Order: sequence, then structure tokens, then C-alpha cells
Amino acid sequence: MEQPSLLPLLDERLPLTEEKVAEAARLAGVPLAQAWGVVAYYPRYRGLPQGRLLVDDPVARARGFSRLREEAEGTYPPLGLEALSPVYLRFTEKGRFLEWEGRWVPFREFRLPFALGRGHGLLPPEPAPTLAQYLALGGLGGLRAWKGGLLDPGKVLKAVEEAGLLGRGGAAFPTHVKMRAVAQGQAPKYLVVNADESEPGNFKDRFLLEHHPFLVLEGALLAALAVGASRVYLYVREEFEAAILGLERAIRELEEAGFLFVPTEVFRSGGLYICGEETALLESMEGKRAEPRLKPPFPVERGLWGRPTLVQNVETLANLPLLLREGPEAWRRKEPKLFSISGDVARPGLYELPLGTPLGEALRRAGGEPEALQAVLLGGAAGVFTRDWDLPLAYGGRLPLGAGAIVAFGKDVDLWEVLEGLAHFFQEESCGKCFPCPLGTAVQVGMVRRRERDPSLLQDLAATLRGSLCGLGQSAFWAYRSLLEVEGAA
Amino acid sequence: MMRTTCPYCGVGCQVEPEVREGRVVRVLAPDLPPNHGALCVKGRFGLDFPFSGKRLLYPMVRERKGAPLRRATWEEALDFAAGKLLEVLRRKGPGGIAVFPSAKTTNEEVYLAQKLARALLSTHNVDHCSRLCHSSSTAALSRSLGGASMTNPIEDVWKTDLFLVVGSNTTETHPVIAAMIKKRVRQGARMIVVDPRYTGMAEAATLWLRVRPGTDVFLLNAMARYLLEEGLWDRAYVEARTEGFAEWRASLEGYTLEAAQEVTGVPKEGIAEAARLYATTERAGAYWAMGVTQHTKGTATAQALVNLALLTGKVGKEGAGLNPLRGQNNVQGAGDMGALPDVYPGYLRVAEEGPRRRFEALWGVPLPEAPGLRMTEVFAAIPEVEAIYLIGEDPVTSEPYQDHVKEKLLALPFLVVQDILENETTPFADVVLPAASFLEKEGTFTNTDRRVQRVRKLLDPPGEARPDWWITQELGKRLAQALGRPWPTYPGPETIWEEVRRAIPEMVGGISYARLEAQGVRWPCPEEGHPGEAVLFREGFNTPTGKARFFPAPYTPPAETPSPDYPLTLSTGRVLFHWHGGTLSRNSQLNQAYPELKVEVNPIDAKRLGLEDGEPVYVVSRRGRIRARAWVTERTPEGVVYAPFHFAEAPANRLTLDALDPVSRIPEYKVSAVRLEKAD
Amino acid sequence: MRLKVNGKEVEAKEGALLLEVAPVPTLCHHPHTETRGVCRLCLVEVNGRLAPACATEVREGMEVRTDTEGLKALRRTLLEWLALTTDLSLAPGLLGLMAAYGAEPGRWKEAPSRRGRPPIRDNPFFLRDYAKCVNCRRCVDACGDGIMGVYALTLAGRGLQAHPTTPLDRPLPETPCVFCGNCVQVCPTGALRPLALEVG
Ligand code: SF4
Ligand code: SF4
Ligand code: SF4
Ligand code: SF4
Ligand code: FES
Repeated sequence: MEQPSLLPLLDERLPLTEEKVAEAARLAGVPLAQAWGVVAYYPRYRGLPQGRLLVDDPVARARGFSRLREEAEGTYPPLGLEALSPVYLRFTEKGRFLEWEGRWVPFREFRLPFALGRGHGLLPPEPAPTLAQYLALGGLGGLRAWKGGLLDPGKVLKAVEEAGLLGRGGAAFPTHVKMRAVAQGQAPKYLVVNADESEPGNFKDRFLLEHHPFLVLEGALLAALAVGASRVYLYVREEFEAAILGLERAIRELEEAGFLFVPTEVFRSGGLYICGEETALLESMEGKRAEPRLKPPFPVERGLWGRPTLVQNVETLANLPLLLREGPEAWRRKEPKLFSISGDVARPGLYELPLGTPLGEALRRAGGEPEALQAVLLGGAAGVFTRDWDLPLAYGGRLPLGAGAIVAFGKDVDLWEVLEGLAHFFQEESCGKCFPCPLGTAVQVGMVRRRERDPSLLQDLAATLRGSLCGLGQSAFWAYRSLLEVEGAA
Repeated sequence: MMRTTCPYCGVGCQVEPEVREGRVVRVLAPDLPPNHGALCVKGRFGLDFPFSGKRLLYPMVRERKGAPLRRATWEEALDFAAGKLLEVLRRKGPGGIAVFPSAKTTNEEVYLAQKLARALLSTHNVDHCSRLCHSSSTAALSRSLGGASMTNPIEDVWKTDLFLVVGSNTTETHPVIAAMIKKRVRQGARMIVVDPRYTGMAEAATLWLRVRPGTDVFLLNAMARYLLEEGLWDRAYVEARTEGFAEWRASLEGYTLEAAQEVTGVPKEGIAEAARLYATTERAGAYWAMGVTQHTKGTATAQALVNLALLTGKVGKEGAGLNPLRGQNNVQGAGDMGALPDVYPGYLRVAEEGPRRRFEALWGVPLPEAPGLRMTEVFAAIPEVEAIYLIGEDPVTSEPYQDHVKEKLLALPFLVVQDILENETTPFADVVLPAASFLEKEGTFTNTDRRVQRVRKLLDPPGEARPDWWITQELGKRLAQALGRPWPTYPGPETIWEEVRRAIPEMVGGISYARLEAQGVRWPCPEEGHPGEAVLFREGFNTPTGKARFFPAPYTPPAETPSPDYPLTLSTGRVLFHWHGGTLSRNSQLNQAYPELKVEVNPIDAKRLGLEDGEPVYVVSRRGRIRARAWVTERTPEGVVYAPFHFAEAPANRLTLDALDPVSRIPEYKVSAVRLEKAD
Repeated sequence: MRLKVNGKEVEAKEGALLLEVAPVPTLCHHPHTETRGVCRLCLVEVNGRLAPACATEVREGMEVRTDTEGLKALRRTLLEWLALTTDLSLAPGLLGLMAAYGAEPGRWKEAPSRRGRPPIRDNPFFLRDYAKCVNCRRCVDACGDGIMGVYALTLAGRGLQAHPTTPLDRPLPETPCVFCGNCVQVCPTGALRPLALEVG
């Protein structure tokens, strides 16, 4: 980092003692109070759980959670493994492992099985972990064009605007608006790639990072050049160890090949759901508790260290090379979007589909039969239960698409059990900064547990959570409310 | 809730003490200047001293030397005191008596006490404790600018882009101003701190210059010389608004950066950078306190700062200026009200005819022409001076070279002590007059940025204690009767203040009690409609020519330097939790937070002496020794030990020397030679 | 500039906060600290969108509503949840608001509680009684960025468990605390209060 940041300094010193915390604070130039607030915030600084852990995701909840839980010593938040769920982890002195096909696979070696994905335009047909492979698949066209003077900031911004590329992280905000705002800001400016995918049911970014690091990097570098960022940070979920190693290797290769036009580095995330909220993410990079900031000001105005910052999702950036290669017109005809489909379908995995594909068709692509299903959870924990099979999967529709997670539940699944998992997840992940969210998510757990259906209570819960400071609290009741609607419709 | 003014330091924070069953249970701060809701520990938790068991509750007299003090009625005590003073006056003339008003009492009380001395006893032997803290600043500022206070208001902190803080442990002595400055620095302003100790300010500084104790003047002169050499000075300002430049410039010859590095121990690059930052930042303000002034060259150091500010054109502008931080709550007011031997209220010179005529007309008496003696000179003149009327002071703890002070007090024929609490000086008194505390009377204080603020009565005084103004008035009544001089009876402080307004209308004519209801008003404020001046000297200076004057500020080595027998330098000062002689704070819950004396010792010195942190030690000087606990810390540099002076049982001023500044006569508190001995 | 509050035109100065023109309850905002936008009690609807009045500047032509059914439900519920989890007995302001909004905490049946936290008496001046703390952060800000720049207070934990603490959870006298009591003054709940109030 350009400025000393507390989190890496603490990470280097694990396991922590009071002296080491004080030392890290000194080196970072922050008060001990701040360092202690950070240590008392992120779980990994207080020692991670040890032993056999069950990944507590919606699929595991649907598969008889209490029975699965009996075989573990604890649980772990969702890890983008829903297509393989239920999954057990092993946390030992020697490191972190995943129980997979009868083996303990270290985190740094585990990648989502490639058979999950099938590419048409956005996803290359096969993984490209080395530059040679990426080049063989026709990659690096955008950066070459830049080098050859065929691209400039104006052209990139224009193409993005004409394509109407919407952010793929869940908020679906027009990408060019953010890019233009940063481009107009005063240097120094930054690009932060939000690779902290933690929304239950989503594994598209994880997949891209693990198998297509060059695609992500090329997109990021093109965006950084277009907005005049002096540095690129990849904020990657720290559990994605294999992805981090691959990215670091890819950065080195690009540099050696003379294509790293903007200094780029990986920042290991704080390891919490809320770190994916763009301002909480920036706070954690600045060595603080990952608590969302009040907006305005938005990061494009005052982001990292108070400088104009473009925070952009992995998948959004991965679209740039394709968009520039084929032109905005052609890109817009496809509008490729990645969908993470898991649960009760025959072939759970990652699917690249055009935006607008009906929900039922998406399910069928993954070997699921809508009529045999009770409902799907669309969008993740901050999502909704639905059985509207004709729903076009597009932004701005009746239901929120989120980042494109679809978890399917068969007829015999107890959806309240799934909901209880989600309620528990929100309670655990609430940062506690504002009032409605920590209070409301705690109250919600009790309500779900007792299967509360009183509409006036639910209405007040919703009215209050809606007033939360950030999206986490604002969306924490969606699944609950939608479940009652699905129940009512059935 | 009733609002009043904190009685501790010169910031003059507004407080709202909540009284329940005769006790202060909570103190809040209103959102008003100067403190806008903030307080320090003293204002917040230290307002309970009026409930101390050490309160003086009734008058006492000692009928002859050697006899014990006995309880007396007010009549008796006042008659006795008046009789004795008249006797001395008859025998010795006005020169045999001195009156010391208190910088802790209200403006009205100071005014009345100096009036008693001048109008009834015909003496200008009037002085107060600022001799011990800021008279060096006063001397330098008065002769150069013609005014002796902060030139800029406290709230200018928010407009300042560079702070030059010299010898001020602001976080402990003026905590609320320090908090403001530190916040401004967090907002992006820069701060240069010149201090031998790693204080809270040094910690927050952008650039910390660790000077050897007592060498600041050298550093400041070198900064000026460097700026002249580099052409980084404000030629237009110097030409238009100052005089004496050429002579002063010539005096800087020897102050090269190299010599400065040698003498001060600060690398020359640091000195140059500080000079450049100060000169090139438009809004750069200088702040200083006792670290500058309590030296034999205190006046020179303050003068060097004044010169530097004039050279770079920093006086008379917003967010800049020269800002001495005054210590006592009403030390500004005590000076304003004329508690000085050479000036009447409003700093009108005793030696000049105009002022004398003005006060003769106002008071209806003839007044002497020659200035009186300063406090330190009065003590030296005992037993030629035979009687002292001492208000709210504890010279045994606060004066340097304590054993010497005690000898002098023993030799003094007649001492009247008027105070709220029993202290180290009361045993020497012939008459003890119990006074009301700030919670028990009305009046005004003037804070460090010249803001006159109300003091309000929340409680009745305990026992037979009475407000200082009442006591002085009663004593005056008796003297006036005997001398056949006029002495009006004031029904209350407001009437006294009305007389002050008539006496010096150019300064406070526009400040009425009614106006002070809303919030304090700064002087100069000549008329009711006038808002009160924030920044002084925007147009001209208060000198005969209207120009500011440079004066050479020569460096001289400290009066006492370390020797093989006394190898360490002792510096004295304050800590956050206590106040001056400790009379107030040590009788409050504050004492629980800092109950005993700790001397700061650098780890290198500690190692050489085999001292552990927390071990008991003796600090020994040529004049005496005290016992303390060692605090081994990097805060103090190698070779220097630091001791706070609030502890009567271990008085640091037993060690200090009474060498005086040649101009201001301020004692050398900051540098004396000592050694440490292990105690068991 | 002019804007509409609950249908009525009002005049406001450039740069003023909505708070100054809109009648709303507040909790986390305090003029001496920089804490704002946290408690959400002061939320209003600005052109149909929720915004904290304590952190939103007035703008020409704004349409502000302070009393929609949704906002009333929000405030009432929030107060109920606070009462459910926290000891508000020394927070007369909040108790008054509860009465005004007809709060009935009981209807939510169960919730985790902060009431079990033991009071901390670690200095001669004031008590830290976090069973009464709503985690508004005013104290932390007063000690740090807002007023003092001392940083003797910070926050521990997340979610409902988040609450103020000292660096390394040490007793206050072992921290940089200077006992200015500015944290005590800004505390709205009596969680921080002078010891002098305790005796007698
Ligand atoms: S909504 Fe929840 S996660 Fe977001 S700021 Fe509030 S407490 Fe934190
Ligand atoms: S800063 Fe001074 S005036 Fe203010 S509360 Fe502290 S001692 Fe009192
Ligand atoms: S009393 Fe201590 S904790 Fe409270 S604001 Fe002051 S320094 Fe901070
Ligand atoms: S102690 Fe008081 S001021 Fe601090 S967070 Fe709790 S309620 Fe707020
Ligand atoms: S007072 Fe506005 S959010 Fe708390």
C-alpha cells in the first residue's frame, strides 16, 4: 500500500499479543485505540475456530442442517461453495483445508471445479491461469490496443457508456457514471476491485478469480487507465487463497511482459460479509473497523484515503475486454451475465446467460425442473424467495436480481429452516454501527425461530430495518417477507 | 442551570455546575465561547474544593508575635488589621506597606484592592503572581507592541494553518486550547513544537525541536537570522509598521545555524525548516507559556518571538499573532485592573501625569508619582517593608527558594492573609481573613483572550467566610475613616464594575453586566454597541509612534549550569491534574488521580544511577532536597529531570534558585542544577 | 433558500442541516461531536427517500416529510427495541419519546439483552455502566476525533455486541485518558455518569 495500513501489519504478526498490536499501531501511525477497535472487530484477530466446521449456507440449511451440524464442531459462513454444499472444513494448526472427495485439500490449492462453468462470450472456454494460455485464447487485446495508441480514456468511457454496462455486484449502478466521476476527479485516484464475494449463493467472482485472473486484471487495468487511477487494489476475500496466489502470479507475469501499466496489488479482505459494502471495504483498507460510511460523499468523490476512488465488482470489470473487442453494440445484444445456480438442480454451477432469460429457463439449463421445486432464493441472503418461473432475470424488474445467485429448493425442504439460517447470518454479520440493523436482525432471529406470521409485526420490522444505514440492514427482511408471500400464494 | 466561569486556568471555560444538597455533583459546559462545550479535568471534576475540610471559616488574629492564632469576630479582626496598617503607615510611610491582590479573585476585587493601596495607603507597592509566570511576556510585548495580551482570539485557532508552540505544555496547562489546536492539526494544519520534553504537544507536532533547556532564545534568533539571509521576510511590513530594525538586525550576527545547533542541540536542518515553515505560512500563530518566560532570560525569549513575528509580518492578522497563554483564571484581569506597581487600571502609567490626574479626579485623593516595588523586590526589602496585605496567594509554595521565603516571612512584622483555604503561608499570618470561593460570590474574570465573563453565586459561603470585595471594602472603610479620605460603600460587585467602566472607558466602557448575561465580551470595547475587538493591532500599535519596535534579545547561558556535584538540570512545571501551589486541586477529588510527586527521569540517566521506575529518590540542589518517586520516561531528555511544583510536602521550589530576569524580575524556575540520590 | 417541511414552506440558511428546520427526535447527533447518521431516529423522507436529518443539508425546493406512518412506525419500533435490550432508566429523554410514540416493547416478546453488563468503576471520577449504553458512539468521538484527540475510547465487538471500551480493555487510568469528562457530558443515556451523582 502507498500508506502503511493496519490490517496487513496485524496479519504479519498473527497470532497477536498486546505488544504486537501496539507495535502494529505504531508502524501504521494510528492510536492504539484504533488498533484495538480493529482487533476486537475482525474475527481472525481473536483466533479462528479450530476443528471440523460445517459451511453454513442456504443449501446446507436445506439438506437437514441440524443433522449435518452434529458432525461438526462449529460452523463457518458461506464461502461460495453452494454448488458443492454441504461442505466441511478442517481448521488445524497446519492450516485451513476443505474436505473434498475424501481428501483434505488446502485452501491455497482448492479451486471451484471447472466443469461448473461453460463460456460463450464473457467466460473463455477453458481456464487461463498463465499469460501464455490467456494469449492463446486471444486475450490482452485491450491492453495491446492501449499500448498501440488505439485506445484512450475517452474511447473506453464512451464504449462503456454506449454499452450501458450496469454494475454486476448487486446494485446495478451504471458503470460509466462512476467512471466519469472518477475520471474528472483530482489525482491521486484509485481503482479498487471489489473481490470480496460473500453473498450466500454467489460464486461467480470466486470462479473468475480462480480460473481467469488475466481477464480480471486486463479489465481492471483498462478501467484504471480510463479513469487515471494511479494504483489498482484487488480487495480479495482472504479465504480465496488459491485465487490470491494466482492473481499475484498473474500480476508478476503481466509486469514481466510489460503490460502492468498501473501498479497493482492484492489486499486481503477483512473476512466479513460487510467488507463487501464498498465504503466498509475502504474503511478496512484504511486500517479501520469495516463499518459503512454515510453517503454522500460517495467513493468516486472521497474514497480511499479521501481520494476519488472507483470501486468496481470483478464481473463488471471482466466485461471490459469483451466489450471493447466486440464494440458496445454487439456486447449489448448479448448482455452476458453470470448466474450462480445451486441447490436442487441436477447440474449446480456457474452459467453465463443473457440478461432477460426467464427464471424457469435458467433452472432448466442447470438441470432443474421448476414444477418440481417449491421456490428459489434469488439474489442471496439479501434476496427473495420466489416461484415466479416466468420472471425475466434482468435488472430493474419486479424482483431484485442481486449478483445473480439462484438457490433452488425442492418440495420437501423446510424453507423456514433456510430462512432461520439467513436470519442468523444477518445477525452475525451486522456491523453494529447504526441502530435498526443490530437490533432488528437480533429481533428477527427470534421471530423466525417462533415462526412469527403477525403481519403488523413484520410490517414494523420492515419499516424499521429499511431505515438502516447500509444495504445489509435495509435488505435483511426481504427474504422473510417474501417467504410469507410465497406461503400465501401456495 | 446557572452558568459561571471555571476558576482554574486562563482559558476561562464556561461551566454549569449542578448543585444538589450543597454539593457540586456534575459540571456541564454550555455551547458558548471560549470552550464550546469542552472542559478539562479541573473544570469538570475539580470544582469541589469549596467543600474541602481546609476551608477557613472564621477570622483569626495573632495579638503579638509568638502567640497562637485565635478566633475573632469580623469587627475585631478588621479593626485589628486596620490599626496595625495605620501604625506602620505612620511610622514608615507608604513605602512600608505592600498589597498583593490575587489573580484568582474577580476583577472587581482586584480593582478594589489596588484602589485601597493607592488611594488610601498612598503606595504603588501593588503586584500579583503574574510576576511568577508571565511578566517576561508582559515586558516584551508592552515595550514592543504597547499591549500585553494575546493579540488574537482563541477561536482564531480554527483559522490558523501553522502553530509555533514554544515552551508550552499546552495539553496539561491549557487543555481546552490544546484540544482545539490538536483538532486543527488533524484537519491539516501544521505545528512546530519547541520543547525539551516530549509533551502531548510534541506528540501531535508535525515538527518537534528538542532544545536544551534554556536555549530557546538562541534558536529563535537563529531562525530570524536565517530568514534574513534567505530573504524570507516581509520587507513591506517591516518598513511600514516597525522601527528599530537595523540595530536589531546587527545584534543577530553570531546566531548562525551552526552555532544554534551547537548551543541548542537541535540539528540545523530542523531549525531552518521551522523558520521556513513559519515565514512562508500566511496564517501562522505563535503560542507560548512558562517554558519561555520562567528563565533569567525570559524577557529575551519572549522578545525573540516578538521579533520573529514582526520580521515575518504576523501581527495584526487573523489566524496568526502572538499569543501568550495566561496561567491563572484572572491573571489577565489582575493586570487589566492595575495590580502592578507601575500602572493603574487599563495599563495607564503611574509615572505619567495624565493618568495620575485621571485617577486623582475619580478617587478624590492625591496620588504618588513614583512606581512601587515589584513582588520579588518587596520580599527582598523585608523588614524595610513592614506590612503585607496578601490576598489569595501562597508564596511559601509558589516563590522560588522556599527556605529563603520562610525566613523572610518570619522576619516580616505584620502579615494579613486573606484566602479561602488554609495553606503553607497561613501559619505566618497575624490576621487571617476567610474569603468566599468563586461559587459563593458575584463578579467577573477576564480570560487569556481578553474576554470578560461573569462569575455567579450558586451557594452561600460556609461559616463566616465573606467575598473578597466585601472584606477589602470593610478594611478600606476603617482606613478611610482614620485617614479622612473618601471611600464609597459599594452595595455589590456590579457597582464596583460601574466604577471600573468610568475609570477606563476606552477599555471596558461598553461592557455592562447586562451584556454579559448572554456571553462574555472581549476588550477593548469602548461602547455598548461595540462587539469587542478580536484581533489587536490591525491598523497600528499602541506605541507612541504607532509602530512596533524590535529589541535585541541576547542569549545568556542559564544562571546555574550542571557541575560534577550537581550533574543534572532540573526543570519545574505543572501537571494536568493540579493547579499551581496545589491549594485548590489537592483539596479536590483531582488529588486522587495524581496523589504524590513524581520526577521524570530519562532512562539513560536512570540506568547510570541504577534507578528503577517507581523507586523513591531525593532530588538535591545547592539549596535543599525533596523526596519523590522516579518516573523513568523518554518524555524528558537525557540530563534533565522534571518536577511539578504542586506538592507542599515535597516542594520543588525548595530547590530552585532566586536568580531573576534583569527586565521582568521573573525567577528562574526552569533551570537549576541538581543530583538524584536513591532514597529508601 | 426555501423548502417544504410537512407541506409548509420554510426558510433556511445555505449549509444548514435539515435538523434545524424539521422537528425530529435525535439521539446520536450532538453539536460537540461529529457522530451522526447512526441512530436513525431523525430519519425523514426527502422527496420520498429516507435521509437522516442530522446529516443532510437543506437544498432549494426539497420536499421533506417528518411524520409519515412509516417514519412513526420506525421511531416507535426503534424505541421499543432499545427498551427491550438496554436499561434506559437514566435516559429521561428516551423515556419521554417512548411515551410520546406509544411504545410497547412487550409486543416483540424476546430479544437478546445488554442489561447483564456489569458497571465498571475504574477511576475516581466517573462510572462506565454499559448496561445502559445504546452504542451511539458520542463518547468515542468526543474522546477522539470530535473534541479531545486523546483516543482513550474505542469500540469492541460487532452487531448488538458492539460497545465502547478502552484500548486493550484496560482500566481508564492505564490509558491515555485525561479525565476531561467530555465523554460523560455527551453521553445521552447515563451510561457514563459522574461518581458524585452516585453517593447520596
Ligand atoms: S445496516 Fe447493519 S451493517 Fe450496515 S451500517 Fe448499519 S449495522 Fe452496519
Ligand atoms: S481548560 Fe482551564 S478554564 Fe477550562 S476547564 Fe480546564 S482549567 Fe478550567
Ligand atoms: S474522560 Fe477520558 S475517556 Fe472521556 S473523553 Fe476525556 S480522555 Fe476520553
Ligand atoms: S457510553 Fe453513552 S455516549 Fe458512549 S456509546 Fe454508550 S450511550 Fe453513547
Ligand atoms: S440523530 Fe440523526 S441519525 Fe442519530
